[in-house]
Parts: sequence; structure tokens; C-alpha cells
Amino acid sequence: MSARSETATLQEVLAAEQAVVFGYGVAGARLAGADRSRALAGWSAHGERRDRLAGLIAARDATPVPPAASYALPSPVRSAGDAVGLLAELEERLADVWADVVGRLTGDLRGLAATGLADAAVAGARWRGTSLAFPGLPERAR
Amino acid sequence: MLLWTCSPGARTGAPGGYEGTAALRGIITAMTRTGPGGPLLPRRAVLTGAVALAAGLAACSPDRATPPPPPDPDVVLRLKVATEVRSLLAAYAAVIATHPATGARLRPFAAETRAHDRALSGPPGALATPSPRTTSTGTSGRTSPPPSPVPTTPVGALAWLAGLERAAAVRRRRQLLRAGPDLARLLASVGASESTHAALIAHPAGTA
Repeated sequence: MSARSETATLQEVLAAEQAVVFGYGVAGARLAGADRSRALAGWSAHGERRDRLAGLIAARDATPVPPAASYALPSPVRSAGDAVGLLAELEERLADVWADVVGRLTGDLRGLAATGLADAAVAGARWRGTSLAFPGLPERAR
Repeated sequence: MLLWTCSPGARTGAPGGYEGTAALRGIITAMTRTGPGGPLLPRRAVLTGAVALAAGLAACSPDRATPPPPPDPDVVLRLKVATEVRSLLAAYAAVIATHPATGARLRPFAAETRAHDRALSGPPGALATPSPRTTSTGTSGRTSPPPSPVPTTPVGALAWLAGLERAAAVRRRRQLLRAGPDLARLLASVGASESTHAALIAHPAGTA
């Protein structure tokens, strides 16, 4: 993979992580107790990964894509149940993005993508309450 | 001696022929000398001759048939991972058999692990048939020993199983680094599922 397409791939996952950080902010406001703590931990973990990706992109002499000011959510978030559903959905979509880039990256970056996929899968399973046989692979029966 | 050469001299038994043929000639001479009804040939001499003959045939055969193509490394890796996944399945079965009360909680994870095995083993014909050399090198046997005995308490057994899933996920993350793009994506997903199993077995959803 050329250095340019590698950077473009990193930009792709950076944009996805930025959207997920936004979603955690929206959902967290609707949650309380243990769920709120978990949302806060998730918001922080995704923020760290976002920053790491931005650093990798900057190290390749490129400018990290800026986050959008706002994002269209897949469904309105009016209750704690909506918030949990949103986070399950976002983690699942994020898992798809990470899985898509695994094969396009090599070495350490492929390892980073695999870890990103695993973390999204575990977090998604926690919000949803069930695991998946093939997180990130929508073409396989789930 | 080069692996895939066999000098004509060796086949005709000409001087300078290689060891296998020389040993074969030696054993024929020995049998002729002892003859029917003669003293039995020392067992060691027969065995040595037979082994040398087998070695000679193995070394010569590629001269007549083209050498087998090297096995596709992705197929080898895929089958190796499938073997590891089946050893996880055996661990699930052992825990559920020893502690039936864990069955309700573990069966969904076992079902997903079975799906991993199906995806890795592939439908018949989807994978290139591994050459005999692939299977005989036995990468699987060494890397996935049968699961050790199940701990005697359900809590201990669940912790043991969670540990096996976690270790499997760590192996996937290493294995996918040397896989082709498509297999890497599949292994990343299988590993992510194994990470999820480890987390949910250790702390069921709703308790963490």
C-alpha cells in the first residue's frame, strides 16, 4: 500500500472515531449511574484513539481531517434506552469500519486496526447485551 | 545432494551411485548368500536396507513427477486456526459437561465458536485441498494441545474458559499479521468475537 493510501485509510477511521466520540457525548447526557460511567469511559477511550490516529496522520505530513460540528444520529435519543441503543449501533458501525481497513493495512497499523475492531466489538456487545460471531463483517450472518 | 535430483548413475547402480541403491544391492547380495533354508538374515540388516530403499525411492520420484506446488500459506494458516478453534469448542463442551448449570450461559458463545470453525474450514471445495505435505507437517497438533482438565468449581471453570478465549484472541492478532488481506479481516473478526466471549464470560452483560 502506498504511503498516500495508507494515510487516506487512517483518515477514514479517524473520521469514524470522531463521529463515535460525538455520539458518546450525546448518549452520555441521557444516561445515569453505571451506564453513565461506562459511557464516560467509552467517550474517553475513543477520544484517545482519535488522538492517536491524528498523531499518526500528522507524522505522515498530512493534516488530520477535522471533526464535523454535528452529526446526524441514526435515531433520536430521548431516553436512556435510546442512548444505549445508539451506542450499540455506533460501536457496531465502527467495528465495520475497522474491519474494512484491516486488510488494507500492514504491520503495526494492521495490529492497531485489529485492536480497534476488538474494542468496538466488546463495547458493542456490552451495550447490546449479546455477542456476535463475526463483528465487523456484515456480509456474514450475525 | 540436491533435494530434487537423482543422478542416472544412482538408478543404474553405477559406481558413484548413491547410498540408497548401494544399500539395496547390499541386501540382495546378502539374501543371495544366505539363500533359501540358509541362516536367517540379521533383522537389523533387513531393516537398514528397507529404510535406505525407501529413502532412495523418495529422493528419486520427483525426477519423474513434477514437485508438488508449495501449499498456500493462507490455507495452511486458516486450517491451523480452525484446529485451534475446535480445541476451544472442546473446552466449552468439557465445561458444560462438568458443570451443566453453565450451559445456558455458554451455549451462545459455543455456537459462535462453531460458526468460526465453519468459516475457517470453509464449505467443501472452497479451500484448496491441502497437500499431504501440509497435513504431515502437523502445525496443528503442536500448537493446540487438548484442553487441560476442567476446574472443579463452576466459577473456576468459567475463569479458565475466559482465559482460553483471551489467549485465542491474542493469537489471532499475531496470526493476522502474516495473512493475506481477506484472511486477515476474517481473523480480526474471529479474534474480536473471542475477545467479546472472554469479556462476557468473565463479566456477563449487565454486571459490569
